Amino acid sequence: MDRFLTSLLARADQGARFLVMLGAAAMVVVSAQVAMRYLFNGSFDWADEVSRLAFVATIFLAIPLGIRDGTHVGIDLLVSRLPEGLRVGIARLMSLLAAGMMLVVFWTAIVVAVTTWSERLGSINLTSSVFFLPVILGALHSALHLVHMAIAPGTVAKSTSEEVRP
Amino acid sequence: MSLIVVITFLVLAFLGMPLAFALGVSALGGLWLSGFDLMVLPPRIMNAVNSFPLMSIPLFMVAGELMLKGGIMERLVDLANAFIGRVRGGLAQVAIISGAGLASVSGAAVADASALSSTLVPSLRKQYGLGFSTGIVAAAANLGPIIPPSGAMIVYAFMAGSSVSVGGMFMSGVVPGVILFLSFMFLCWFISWKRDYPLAGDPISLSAILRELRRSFLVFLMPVVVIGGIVAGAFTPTEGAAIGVCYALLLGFFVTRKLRLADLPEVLLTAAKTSALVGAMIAFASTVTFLFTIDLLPMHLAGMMEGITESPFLFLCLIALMLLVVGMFLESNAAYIMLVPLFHPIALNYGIDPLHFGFLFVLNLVIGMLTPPVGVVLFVVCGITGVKMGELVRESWPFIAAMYGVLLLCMLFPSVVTWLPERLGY
Repeated sequence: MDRFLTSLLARADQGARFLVMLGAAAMVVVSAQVAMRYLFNGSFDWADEVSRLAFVATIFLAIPLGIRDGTHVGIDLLVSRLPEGLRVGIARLMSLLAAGMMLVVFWTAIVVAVTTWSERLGSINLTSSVFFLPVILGALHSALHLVHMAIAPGTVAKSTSEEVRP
Repeated sequence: MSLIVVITFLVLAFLGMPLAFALGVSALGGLWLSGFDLMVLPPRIMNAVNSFPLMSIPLFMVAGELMLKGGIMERLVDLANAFIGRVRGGLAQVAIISGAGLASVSGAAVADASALSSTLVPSLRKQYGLGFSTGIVAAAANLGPIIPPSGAMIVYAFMAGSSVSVGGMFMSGVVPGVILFLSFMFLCWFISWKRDYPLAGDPISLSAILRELRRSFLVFLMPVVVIGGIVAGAFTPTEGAAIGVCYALLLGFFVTRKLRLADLPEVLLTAAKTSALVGAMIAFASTVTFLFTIDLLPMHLAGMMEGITESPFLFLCLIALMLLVVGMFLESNAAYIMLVPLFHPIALNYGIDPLHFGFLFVLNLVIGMLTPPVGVVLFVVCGITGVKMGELVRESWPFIAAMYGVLLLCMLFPSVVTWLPERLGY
């Protein structure tokens, strides 16, 4: 189980990394709006929606990468003082709880995406449910990482209160 | 209901669950206990980050990282050296000037701390020892979220809603930022004089100043174009940040020629992952604040605060005290996301200028980044330089005291904060 999850997650991480970089790069399309406005006195109608979609995708697809790297901010003042066995047990329980929450997000997002499938975006002829795709993928990917951390606590990265942030 | 959500969140957070997920689990529990359909969760978390203004956070991050990879640090340090010349504490002042220069293009204390620690501490420690050197660097890095552009101010403006604009927040930080910068410069000189550190640096020469000004001109043109464009209304903060990215790419590829195509994936991935940490908290906190609103918590809280005091100044003091404690234990973005929607409306009820309150809120939490036990800037500087936390904290206290001095000044004289934004029409 552990080996299967490790291999599955390695591939998922690789895919997420690529998509996240693509999404972050796509956000720069916003600058094209300024160029169009001031140089050509026009605008790209789709730029706003595309850049927001890229942003939403970047955020939700990068959440599991943060879980893998142990970079989500937490408070370790209390747990770091607990005995090893208890600390690992609590970490497993917390991972399972968070995984459960992510699975609820995953399932409800599918239901909402299916329900709203017929709604279209304003500037592109595309279903508005496309905004839920990164939520669905990110939630499932996150849940898998969290389950993996619960099964094999050794993969739990060090506490994250020391994390790097804007 | 709000109480159950808050208690669940606190228990999970103190048991080590990452704050974003602790918010998510407590929100889910709150929805379930309140009998809400769980289908409200996905649209709420998705729409919380489906925001055009919020996009400026990763874009400013990418711009700052690209500028650093493009080799601007070297130019900033050379320029600062040329201006400072041979004075006591000169190298320390060079570090502060470099930090202020970096703050004007980056806006993130942690990125600045990382850049300043790795580039300046090796030469600083030869003059001042490791402790003082790292204290200087930590203080200089803390100018990042105060001098525009500022990631912290963008998050604040986003969480505060329509009463606060990003451009107004940026401008509110200019005058206090300059005062802080000058007080840090004075502290560097004073401590160096007290400890009798030797004179350092080359004497001032006009030709060196002109040469370095010419070399750094294009670096400093970026904040002028980006911030100037935002303030003048030529473009939105998000568009400004995207223009900053394009500018940094051109500068790195064609002017400094130190940026490589191979650097881009790492820059994009780092910005995306860091934004995701903030984004995850914003996404899940949106459901928590939804539950708070249903429960009329902001109204109850406002009533409670007004029962304690009717004085706006005393209210500001209470908030400062609360943030002093919060800043010691909670990461600053988490604090903005959870507390701004609760306290910003109360400040408006007291008749406090939204930009004044916003700036004080940000400054309080920026100081928290330098105070133990949870001070992210301290962690970054310790991690890179190897200095002991105790030594760094001891050497940082004069700078922290200066920041509290400026905080008090801004509380007593709101015009220090609001004068410039008012002049510019905010």
